[in-house]
Amino acid sequence: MNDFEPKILAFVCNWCTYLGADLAGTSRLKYAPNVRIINIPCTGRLNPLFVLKAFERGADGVIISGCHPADCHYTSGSSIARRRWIVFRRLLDVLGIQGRVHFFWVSAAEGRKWADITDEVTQSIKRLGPFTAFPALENAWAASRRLARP
Amino acid sequence: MSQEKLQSKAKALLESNEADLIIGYQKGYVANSTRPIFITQPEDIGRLVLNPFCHNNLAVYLTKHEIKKWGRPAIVAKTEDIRSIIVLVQEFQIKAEDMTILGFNCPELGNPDAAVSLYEAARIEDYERILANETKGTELAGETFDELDGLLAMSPEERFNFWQEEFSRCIKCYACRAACPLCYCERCITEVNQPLWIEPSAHPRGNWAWNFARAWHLAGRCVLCGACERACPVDIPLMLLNAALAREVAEKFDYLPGYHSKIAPPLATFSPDDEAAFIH
Repeated sequence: MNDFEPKILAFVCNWCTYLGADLAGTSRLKYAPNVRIINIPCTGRLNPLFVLKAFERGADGVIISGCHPADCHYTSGSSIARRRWIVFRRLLDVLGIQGRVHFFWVSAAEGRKWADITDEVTQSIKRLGPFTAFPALENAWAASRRLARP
Repeated sequence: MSQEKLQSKAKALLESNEADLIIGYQKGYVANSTRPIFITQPEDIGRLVLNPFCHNNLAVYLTKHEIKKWGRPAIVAKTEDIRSIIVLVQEFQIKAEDMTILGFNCPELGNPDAAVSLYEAARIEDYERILANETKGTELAGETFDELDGLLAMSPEERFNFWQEEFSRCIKCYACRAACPLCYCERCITEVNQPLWIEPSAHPRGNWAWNFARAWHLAGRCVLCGACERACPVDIPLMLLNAALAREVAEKFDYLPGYHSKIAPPLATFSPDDEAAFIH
């Protein structure tokens, strides 16, 4: 599995982590190229269906990162989001998706932290291997359709 | 006996114009069953029944336009249904002052010999007091929770396969949504097609997304009345998902839905002391 390069989707808050990732770039820090960033206004904007959609479309892991609780641009967005994640994690756990979704707080000043966590998550997803559960569902369904229609 | 008492109560409500519509149960088409009835005339009260087969959660009708236009309803509701009415009031879907609740308690639904007793209350505040003393917390125990512990003891792959097996039977009839009083959105996420969040065909991917979204949208709100699971024609254990989220909310935020109509729902608020160990 050494040549496996995971696809990791990062949902990041526009006001903290996105600028943190920008700082990592302007500071010429090198980090894993497996992470694709999607900028959202606030982590409170993150609908858990985004994460499910990411897995459906072939992501191997998801990073969700926003402001530290007291620093939220919208005062309470990241705190309300945290409550949601607590329950959301339980739902993923019960459904059998484990170790694929990672949560962080990265401020605009933490470019180094961003570089570190992306490397860390990439390594952890590499150890887990590709997320095949959803593609397997897909293939099984396609196969059953082929059988049904000669 | 409770049945006669209920009928006389309901009749008095209609005759005194305290209620315009009685939402209750009538005899079903087959033995040991009931179906909903909507009564506006006092002479029809004799059709109202009350027995251990009053399974349906009638609170589902309270948010419907067709029902609202009749005016002030009086609704026959068992203990769990009263809790779902309290959540509807908490979420500003119905007005508590317009409504009379004819509450009853039946500890063993489905058992023909079970006792059915009426609550001596009509207003939501009274029921909040009664429920707080009587039943608080007992809903977080029982067979469903034992099953849930069994499920959580499996490995994640086994759990995924378990749900894949269960969801593969889903035919996307949305009976679970129709039976749930708290699934009241006029436009459900599954009907949104730009973007398409949930594939409408009975495809494994769409089945997953639908059952995921349904459970998630009820997190911290579900009162565990069991209406979705009873409605499911292919017996998907939906209550397992509901129970898992209900227990998580109870443990982490010390909150049970359906006991207070005036406090903010747990997922619409926050505390600085919420768990943070999983965020690095």
